[in-house]
Amino acid sequence: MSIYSNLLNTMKITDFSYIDDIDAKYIPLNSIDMELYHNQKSLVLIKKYDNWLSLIESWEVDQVAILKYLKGNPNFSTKAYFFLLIENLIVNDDLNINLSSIERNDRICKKFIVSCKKDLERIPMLNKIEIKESTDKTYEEKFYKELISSIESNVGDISKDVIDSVNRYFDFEGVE
Amino acid sequence: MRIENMLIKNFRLYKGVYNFDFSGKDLIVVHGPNGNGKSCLFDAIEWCLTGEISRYQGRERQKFNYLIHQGALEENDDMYVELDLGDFRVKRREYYRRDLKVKEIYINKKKVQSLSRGNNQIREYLSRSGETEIINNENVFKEQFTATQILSQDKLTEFVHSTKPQDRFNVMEKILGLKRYGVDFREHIKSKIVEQNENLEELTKDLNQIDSLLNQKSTDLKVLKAEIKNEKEQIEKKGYRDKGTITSELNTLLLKYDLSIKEDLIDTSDIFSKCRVIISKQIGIFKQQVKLLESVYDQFEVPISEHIKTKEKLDCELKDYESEKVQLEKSIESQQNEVEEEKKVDFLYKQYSEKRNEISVLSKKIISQKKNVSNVESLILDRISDEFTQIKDFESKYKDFENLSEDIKISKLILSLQKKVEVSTDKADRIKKEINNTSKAIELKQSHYKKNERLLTEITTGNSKTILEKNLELYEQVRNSFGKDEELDVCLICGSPFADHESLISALREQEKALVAAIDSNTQTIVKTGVELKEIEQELIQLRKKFEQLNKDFDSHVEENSSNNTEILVLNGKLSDDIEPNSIINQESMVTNFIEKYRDIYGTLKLLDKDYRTIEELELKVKKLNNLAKELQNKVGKEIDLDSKSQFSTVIESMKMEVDEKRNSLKSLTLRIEQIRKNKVEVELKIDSIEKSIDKVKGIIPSFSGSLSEITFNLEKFRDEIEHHLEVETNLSELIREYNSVLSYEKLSDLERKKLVLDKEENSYNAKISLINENIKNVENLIEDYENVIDLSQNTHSVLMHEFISNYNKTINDLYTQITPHNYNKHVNLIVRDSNLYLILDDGRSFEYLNEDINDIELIKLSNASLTLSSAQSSILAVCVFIAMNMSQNWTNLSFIGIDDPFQNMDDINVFSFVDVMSNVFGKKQTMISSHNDKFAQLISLKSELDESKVAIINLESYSKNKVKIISEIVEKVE
Repeated sequence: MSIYSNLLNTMKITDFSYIDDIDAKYIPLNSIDMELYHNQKSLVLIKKYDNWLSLIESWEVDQVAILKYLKGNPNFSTKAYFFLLIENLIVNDDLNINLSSIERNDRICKKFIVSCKKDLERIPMLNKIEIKESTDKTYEEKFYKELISSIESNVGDISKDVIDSVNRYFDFEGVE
Repeated sequence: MRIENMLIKNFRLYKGVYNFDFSGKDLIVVHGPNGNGKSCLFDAIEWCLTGEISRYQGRERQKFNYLIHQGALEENDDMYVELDLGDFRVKRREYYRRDLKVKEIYINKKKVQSLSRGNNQIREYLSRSGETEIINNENVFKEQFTATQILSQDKLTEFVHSTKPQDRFNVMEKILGLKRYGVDFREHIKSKIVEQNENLEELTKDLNQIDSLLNQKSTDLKVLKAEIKNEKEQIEKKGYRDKGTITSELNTLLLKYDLSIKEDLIDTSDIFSKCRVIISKQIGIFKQQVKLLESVYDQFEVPISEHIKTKEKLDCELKDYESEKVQLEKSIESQQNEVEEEKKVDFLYKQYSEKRNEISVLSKKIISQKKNVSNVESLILDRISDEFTQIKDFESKYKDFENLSEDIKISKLILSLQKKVEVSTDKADRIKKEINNTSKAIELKQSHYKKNERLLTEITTGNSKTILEKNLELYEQVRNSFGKDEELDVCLICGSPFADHESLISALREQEKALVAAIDSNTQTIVKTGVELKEIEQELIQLRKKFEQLNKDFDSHVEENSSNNTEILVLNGKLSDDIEPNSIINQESMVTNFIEKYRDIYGTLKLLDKDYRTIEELELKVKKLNNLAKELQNKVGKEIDLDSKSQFSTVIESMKMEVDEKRNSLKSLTLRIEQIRKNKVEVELKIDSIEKSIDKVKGIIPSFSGSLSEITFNLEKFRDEIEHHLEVETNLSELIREYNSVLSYEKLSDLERKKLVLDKEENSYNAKISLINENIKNVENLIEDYENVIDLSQNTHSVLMHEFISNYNKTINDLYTQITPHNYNKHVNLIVRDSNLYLILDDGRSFEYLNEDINDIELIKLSNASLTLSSAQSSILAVCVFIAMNMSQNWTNLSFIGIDDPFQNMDDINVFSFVDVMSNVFGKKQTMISSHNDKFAQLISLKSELDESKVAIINLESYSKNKVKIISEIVEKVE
């Protein structure tokens, strides 16, 4: 039975299934209160730590347990994400270095330390970045108009030759 | 619209034709080591669609042919890239025809008439409807393509290496494809400024030229005005005298110098200058004469006769002193000789005295030595008085006995050696016999050995063994083969008939037994003979060893005898004549007793010999010294008194003092003579100089006799002449000035006319200068305007770039945050200000208040506070900007994104995150991504979450001059 089920909605982990029949040889995963969820694309491993000290002390041990599981389930070997949950984390420089080194660790699986909603934004699988199509005018049109307007307001009585030269650059040059 | 297929021929690394089938592929992963042609594939797409490769723009390489494969170029083959975009197929082709490059475009397999038309069609097809500016403007199209479709490695690297805000701005300008509005536009305007500066230079040159001409005219005018002014003043000052009066006065003066002028003569300067020259010359001559007389004046203060008298007096004095000097020198020489003689005698006295002393010492020694000898002789005589009366007799007998004793010793040695030789000869004879016996025994054993050996050979290798064995086999075979044939009763071997079959078999068995016995007997003989052979072998070895030892012993005895016999011969030679060793042996005790008794006496006697010799040597020395003393006495020639040494010294000293005094006198006399000679030379020089001066003065006063009064008189005369001529010169100058004034008045009207002309010219030049200055001002204004446009364009570009980037800032930040592995500084904000691109990194808090109103100082402070980006962070940021640009663009129908090896600076964890982020893109757009790292390439395809059929892997394994080795299911080399 999932103990983190109430957290899943908060974390937007909605289309994942809970794995409750972990093979006996992976018993450590249960005994260390780590829970596994999967969908077709990814495997998510979640563990909540009481405080940052316990996180720093035990994350490597937990990672070994994950390695054992992935050995038995090689399909997930490049698709495993380990979420290390910790509440009320007050970050200082020293702690930052430690936490950063955990996330930078490139062994076994990708790791994310999650202490607030903001941290979830950094997780690509939970945050598909929606990029809207630009509706801007082309830069050339904008630039030309702004420049001419700027010249008119700043220089005032400007030589016609200069304006001609600008016009030639945008109207004729480079066009075959 | 996607790229369905790509066909390339002779493009860069790729020699020949390669077909890349991209149909149905959402993700194309290209991997292989650096330099194997990954970037070429991106270049091919870009070149085919735009006609350029942006990463080579503005580079030196652009000037060379870098598109056609070198080998194909040498073979004069063509190069092309053809892209199939579904319902649109575009092919861009290049080749050389007679050294001219031919460029062609084919649309849907049909050649387009002109390149520009082809490019237009490509633009029209790729751009969405309504994008008129992109469709109409090729540059805008290229920029858009570069900024949104393909991110080249070069742009990435440039961004990674730029660390200053200004550099970052420049690279970002390139990444966003906005160079045309930044650096390119400014370059365009700058080129206009250069043109105007050249105009300005030309105008300034003209101005300087006219200015210089104007200056010349102004100077001329100034001179003319001064001249007019002067002429006017002269006329006013002198009034106006009649020209004829002045001419008459002038002629009176000029006549003195044979010159004159006429009244109507205008240019009189020549006559006046001639007159001036004559007067100056006269003054010059008189001045020279005065100078000469002044220079010799002092010499004539004492008459020359006085100097001649002085010289004669000095001659007399010199003669007397020189005669005195000769006498003094002779006297010194004679006295010096006497001193030398006295010195020699003194030396002989010293030597004689030394020799006498030596003789005295030696004589004392001889006496003492003789006394000692006499004492010892009397002691010896006491000891030998029983047998001898004379020491000589004793000495003679002792020596005889010593010789005899020596002979006895040698005789004893000879006899002993002779005994040894006898014994050794006996032994040698015995050994020789034994050698003979051993030799015979060896021969016997050897013969025995050979015999046994022969026997053994016969048995082991001879026919007997083979035949017996073969026979046995034969019998056994016959018996085994035909034993069951009960009717057989004839032997198949020898043909003998038997009573029945059993008898035959029994006979065969008997025969076999006999053969086995014969084989056994031979075997025993072999063993026995073998043992015997070994025993004989051992005995032979022993006998040979003994034989060798005996021979060695025999040789040793022969050698010993030979050595002893030689020694006997040597000893016999040492024996006194006619002595037989045996005859003197019995005298040994008598001789030994005598020698023992008198050995010490004889020793003492031997020591006395030394004393005798010493006495003899001393006496000889005394004799020699006496002879030397006599010789010295003869040299002195008188009886030598050894106490007279002091007298000699006193005499020599007194003589030396006398010589020294005379030498001093000679020295002072010589000095005196030198002084007189010097004085004489001085007087002679003076006389000579006065005579020369007289000659010089005679040159101007021929009657000069040498008196001082004559010089004084003529000096006065010449000085008066000089003064007179100076007065004449002043008068002439005054008259000339007056005469010229009259002439000037006539010239004045001419000068006024010239002035009018010059005034006109000056005005004309001034007008030209004003015109040029006006033009210069206009050009300067134009340059200022151009410079203003540069500044304004820079500001406008900065503001627009900021707006442009601001639109993407959130997306860039979202992408960056997801890829960067840092727990802190994981947010990024890009702010453009005054052609600088500031990157602000932090944990996200600052973004809430960062807006356009932030002042420059705070912005720089924030930017500086952000850590310098690592290479990985720079790479990630550049990739994020590009992805944001690509995903948000809507100008083209082409759904494509190409990123050329973004992993160069990334570590595994960056790559992991990057691929996660890219999974947003995979499927939405056809993605072509390359990596130098096989592991990364594998990771991309594994994590793409795409169906395998939609992923294409192109492995560029290696390449050679003519071939690229590609492992891929979608690539085919077209032969």
